[in-house]
Amino acid sequence: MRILLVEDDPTVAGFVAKGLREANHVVEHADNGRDGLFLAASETFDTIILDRMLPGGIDGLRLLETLRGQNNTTPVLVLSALSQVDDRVAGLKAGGDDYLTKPFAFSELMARVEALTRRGKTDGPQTKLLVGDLEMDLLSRGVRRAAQKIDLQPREFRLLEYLMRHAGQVVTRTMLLEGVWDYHFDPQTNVIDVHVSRLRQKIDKPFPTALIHTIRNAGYMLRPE
Amino acid sequence: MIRIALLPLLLVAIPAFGQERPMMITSDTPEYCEQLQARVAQFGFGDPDVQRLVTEGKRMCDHGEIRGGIARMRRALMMQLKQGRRQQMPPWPDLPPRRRR
Amino acid sequence: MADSLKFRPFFRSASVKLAAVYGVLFAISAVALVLFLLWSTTNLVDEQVEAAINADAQGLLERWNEGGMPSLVLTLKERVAENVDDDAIYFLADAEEARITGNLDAWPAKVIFPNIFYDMAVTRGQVVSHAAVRRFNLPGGFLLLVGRDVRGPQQLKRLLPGTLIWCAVLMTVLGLAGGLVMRNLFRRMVADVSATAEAISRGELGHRVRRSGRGDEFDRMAEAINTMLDRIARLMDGVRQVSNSIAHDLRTPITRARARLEDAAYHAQGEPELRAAVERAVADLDGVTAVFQALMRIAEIEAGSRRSAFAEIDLGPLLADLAELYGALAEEQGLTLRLDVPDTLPAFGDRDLVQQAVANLLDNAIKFSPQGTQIRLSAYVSDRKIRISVADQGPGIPEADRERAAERFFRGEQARSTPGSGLGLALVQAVATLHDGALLLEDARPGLRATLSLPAVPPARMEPASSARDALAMGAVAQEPIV
Repeated sequence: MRILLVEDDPTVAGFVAKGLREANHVVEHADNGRDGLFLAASETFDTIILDRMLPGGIDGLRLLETLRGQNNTTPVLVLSALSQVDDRVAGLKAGGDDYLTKPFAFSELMARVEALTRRGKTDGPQTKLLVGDLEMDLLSRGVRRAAQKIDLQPREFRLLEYLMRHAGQVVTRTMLLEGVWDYHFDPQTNVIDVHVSRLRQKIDKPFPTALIHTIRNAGYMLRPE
Repeated sequence: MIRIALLPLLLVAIPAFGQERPMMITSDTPEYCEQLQARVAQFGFGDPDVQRLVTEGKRMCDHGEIRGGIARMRRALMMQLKQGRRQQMPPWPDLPPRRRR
Repeated sequence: MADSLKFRPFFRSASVKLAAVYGVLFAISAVALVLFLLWSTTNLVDEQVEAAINADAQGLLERWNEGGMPSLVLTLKERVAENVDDDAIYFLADAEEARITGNLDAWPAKVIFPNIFYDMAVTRGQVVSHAAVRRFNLPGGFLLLVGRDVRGPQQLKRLLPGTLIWCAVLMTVLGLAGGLVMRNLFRRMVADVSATAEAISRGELGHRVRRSGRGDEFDRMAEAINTMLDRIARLMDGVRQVSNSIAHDLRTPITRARARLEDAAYHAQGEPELRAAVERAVADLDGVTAVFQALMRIAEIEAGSRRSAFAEIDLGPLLADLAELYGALAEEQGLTLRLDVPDTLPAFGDRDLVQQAVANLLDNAIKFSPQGTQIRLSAYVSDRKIRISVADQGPGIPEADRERAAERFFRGEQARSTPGSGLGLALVQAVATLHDGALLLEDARPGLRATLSLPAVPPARMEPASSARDALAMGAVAQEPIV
């Protein structure tokens, strides 16, 4: 993937760029708003990671609004130290696709970037999801693995659907909380883990190979082994 | 005398009332004082109070205190009338000719 | 303090304006009263004179009717002779205005029309006076003039305005004096409040406004101000405490992280150990971040800036989802989670905040409940408020601690060893206050019942001033977040 990183703090920028490159992505870096806007407008990227507070006269949101004004629909992940809800809303309203507050875990950033990129590339409405030998029929709300029917509660179904739509990507607990339960806070205890382990009981345990993997310090991933 | 009396009247009259000449009250003159005295006398002087009033009144009129004298004469007359002598009222005495001064 | 009042230009002083308004009103009332008195007295005096003349004339005309001219002439003479007050004026004349009888020297030229009162000047002896006279036309062409000397009434009329003006002046002076008194009273009250405020802003928090003990509006204002100052003092104390707690609760994980890293730097043997140490340090720092986040969230909520995000929400599905989310965790720990919530329960508030508040309560309940017990999540309407209740059968909170349980970082003795930052209940409290509701902690016998109350209907729009007062009374802090 080609990723544009617009971030003025050299430590953070270096850390993020290194991580992204290690994951075999191509990373362009700008450390102020003007250069960032120039790069974003003149080259194509799969995703843009944009810090809100930028020097050089153009701050992150203005850059974003300008970009959208030019009909540029590249997915944008907004980074910000401002965590209040109004700030988040402002970031999304300006045209951002996702919002991550600092400090963040790199794995979370990575997971969200990949999710964003994948989102941009969906090929039309789907009726079936397929991962390995796991099959989900979205119309009949039925799930089969190795041709065996699996009974799921509605919430378990939604959880599995989210994992399947992000198959091969890291899905953080926060993402699950937002995507499956529509919650926007961090619970103190790991409530998500319990639900995932229940899902595992139904999806993985009766079968020889596991599809749901725990990624240390990050979250979960659904992928065929 | 009258001319002297008229002077202050004119002074007051002119600024306040323009052309108006103050009318003279004829019952505030020494002549009237005498008239009243004659009237009182017609009833006789039996009552010592009446007597006293008349004497006082006459003295005051003679000395120029006309209003005070006439007032006493009037009070004397009222006393006479209160004592029930109204029925015996004689006709008014004729006015003595007005003395010009 | 008094200097700041003196420095202000005299005429811009509010107390002087107040006194001036008072004085002017007083003066206007005085003048109005005086004018009214004058007018009615003058009228009365004039009326009396005219009445006397009319009555007199009435009698004379009756005599004329009874006995004709001789009777009238005799009556006139008698009246003049008997006029002890020396104020009657009569003149009887023939058609050519020649004198028949009377005590005027001639017919006054200007008295032309009958039945109108004329004013004319007359002399008695050497004294000039005035008289009110009225003309009557008798059959046969005779003219009768009846009048009264008005010197006395005129003197009264002349005297009265002067007197009354002096009265008005006196009243005005009194009014001004009264105004001065009011001004001083006002200044004293304002100066007192002003002095207290300045002392407080200098940091002398012990000052309070003096009360006179009369129980009037000034006293009530003083009481309100003192209550406000008490609350501010309490809040500032609270802030101090919280700062200490924050310092402790943040320093500890930071110190731990630092210690681990330093220890690893010196003593780690090999990369795996180093890596492990670094990862643990990262976890510690994440813990610090979480505490920050929670504190900022609470401060943001308390600042009330999220009121604008209020909307109508349905608690039925919201609570059902939460129960479902935590149900799994509860089961994992051997607990049962029971849901007693109607299918639909409309309320007015911030959805995310309510979710987080109830989630915190459920978290706590699960954390503290021993195995095999039940947690009950219920919601019901009572008194135009919606009450959301989470009851557990754990150790509960001792009564002595219940009042302080919702303070930031407060950890009762029993909870001291459990994980958590001590901010859970503080957040629930902040959410409750923002919604004009309350957090109530009760003994569930056994266990704890925490009840969050929210309004069922949108509250009426409040004036900014009163909302500031209410917000202060309910424990909200001023706009700066406490971090």
